[in-house]
Amino acid sequence: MRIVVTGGSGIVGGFVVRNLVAAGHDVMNVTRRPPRDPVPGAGFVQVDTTEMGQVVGALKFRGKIADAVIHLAALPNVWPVAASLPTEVWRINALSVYNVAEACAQLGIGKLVETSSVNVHQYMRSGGTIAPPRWPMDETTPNWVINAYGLSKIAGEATARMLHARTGAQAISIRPALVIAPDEYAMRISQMRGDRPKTWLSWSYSDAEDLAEAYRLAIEKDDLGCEALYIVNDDAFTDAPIETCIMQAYRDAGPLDIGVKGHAADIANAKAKAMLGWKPRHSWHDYEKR
Amino acid sequence: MRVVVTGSSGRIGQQVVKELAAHAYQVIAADIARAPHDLPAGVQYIQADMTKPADAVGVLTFRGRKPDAVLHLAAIPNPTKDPPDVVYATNVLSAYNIVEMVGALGIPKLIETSSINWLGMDFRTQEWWPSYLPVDEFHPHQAQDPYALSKFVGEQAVEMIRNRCGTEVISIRPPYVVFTDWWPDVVRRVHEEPLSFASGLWSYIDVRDLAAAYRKALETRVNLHESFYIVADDALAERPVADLAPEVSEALGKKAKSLTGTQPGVDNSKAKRMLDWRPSFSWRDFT
Repeated sequence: MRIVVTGGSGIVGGFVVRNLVAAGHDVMNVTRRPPRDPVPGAGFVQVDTTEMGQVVGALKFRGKIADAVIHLAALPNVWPVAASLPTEVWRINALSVYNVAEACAQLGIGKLVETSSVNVHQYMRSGGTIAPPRWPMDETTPNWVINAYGLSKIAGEATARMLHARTGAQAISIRPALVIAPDEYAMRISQMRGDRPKTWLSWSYSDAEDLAEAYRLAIEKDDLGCEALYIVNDDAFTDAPIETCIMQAYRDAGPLDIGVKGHAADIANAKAKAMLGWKPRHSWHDYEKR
Repeated sequence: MRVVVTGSSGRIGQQVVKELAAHAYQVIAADIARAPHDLPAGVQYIQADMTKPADAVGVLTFRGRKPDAVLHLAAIPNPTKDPPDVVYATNVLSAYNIVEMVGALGIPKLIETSSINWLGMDFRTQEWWPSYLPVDEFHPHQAQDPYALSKFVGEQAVEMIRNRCGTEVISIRPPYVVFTDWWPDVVRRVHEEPLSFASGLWSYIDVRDLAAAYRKALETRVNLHESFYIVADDALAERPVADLAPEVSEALGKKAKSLTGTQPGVDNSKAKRMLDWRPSFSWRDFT
């Protein structure tokens, strides 16, 4: 397929482009800065995705409209880009996904995969006073956000639904949790185990290579309709049992409904497995120093 | 009580400013348009573009004082006259800038203008009808156009700031709003084109009643984010909606069987119950 990948120069983008090219797809990376390590065989065109005209132009490459679009272009919630003004995070993220979806509608592109996030569930930022109705969390857990980034992901998912409702296009929203690339495991593990251990929004994580595979499955498969899919590993990114982590983090939230224990992740990946036939192949334990 | 009204020069905004000034609110009117000549006495005005974060700051810190509440009306009111990306960007950027500054400044209350098009029927291209009638605030949405999407996003934005800061937030969902000079033509359409109001489920509101609802929202304490359909008690129709609906579509006709008498397809009982608000104008007053 001829696939436009917006944001193909980012961390996840690089893995996605590489995965698609290896599978034989014709890929065009559309984003505002060129990739540091260009993937041989993938094209690049420099575009500001907040500009509608540029987006429409970019969805045609080598004279033909793309078959499908994978939208990753955004300001992610990772340092140093996370140090952006909230109004900029909002503007870039909300407008980019809108322009891409609108362009897909106008050009008759039948498949979009856009990038959402565990940040639609920012319950951990309530200071542990507000908990989700139950664990594991999944795609039916109510949204709860406190910042521009989380809001932009809610908006992105609603934008995907708009495209599907208007044109019938297949529109999938992929929700990674903490994304970990192969060369990042050592750093993340030491953050998780450090003297002042870092906590994220959940104890789930997404291996970057497994995540890229999910994007490919979501763009290749047909008849998926319009769905949000959590792409997270089976196991939790923590040493302590998951029920202990949850009870500690949410001790001020009142009665908790905890349906996970031991090494299981706090977010369920069953929907992605069932719909995409996806399975995680890498665990953080594979990267632990012996 | 000191309040900022954004979008104050729009047709709804002007009525809201008038209503609040007449009830002893200290109003700061803000709009992208130049200052009008006919502001009510005592109303201050600032020209500002709410899609610019700095303008939102300026409006909410006007003359060095924070307002007690903000009524945000500034938006492009439909997707029929502007490119889709402009409609969406204008509405979601201005909504976000206001929400962010309300939170940052610790302004305790925000009333957001949503729309019956939070539901998403007026500008859809793929036909769909509600799964039950009358529609109430629980009924799910289906946005197909940038305007409807921007209204959904706007309500999510005010929920965000309530979650972060505890701001008291209300979303007002007006239906087809009728201005005083429109009534003769609207009444003509009721007689001659009764099915033309189908996408709004035959709901409507006189702008004066709508302005009163904004004031009631200011005066009502809410805990969670609450959205309200602000519609008249009766349908914008001579015949019962249950009789008109089958002429539009079989699907709609089936759902409309639950509507009786002059009941419109949108329910205003939440607004009446929680805001202690009553519509006082009916289209029948203008025949």
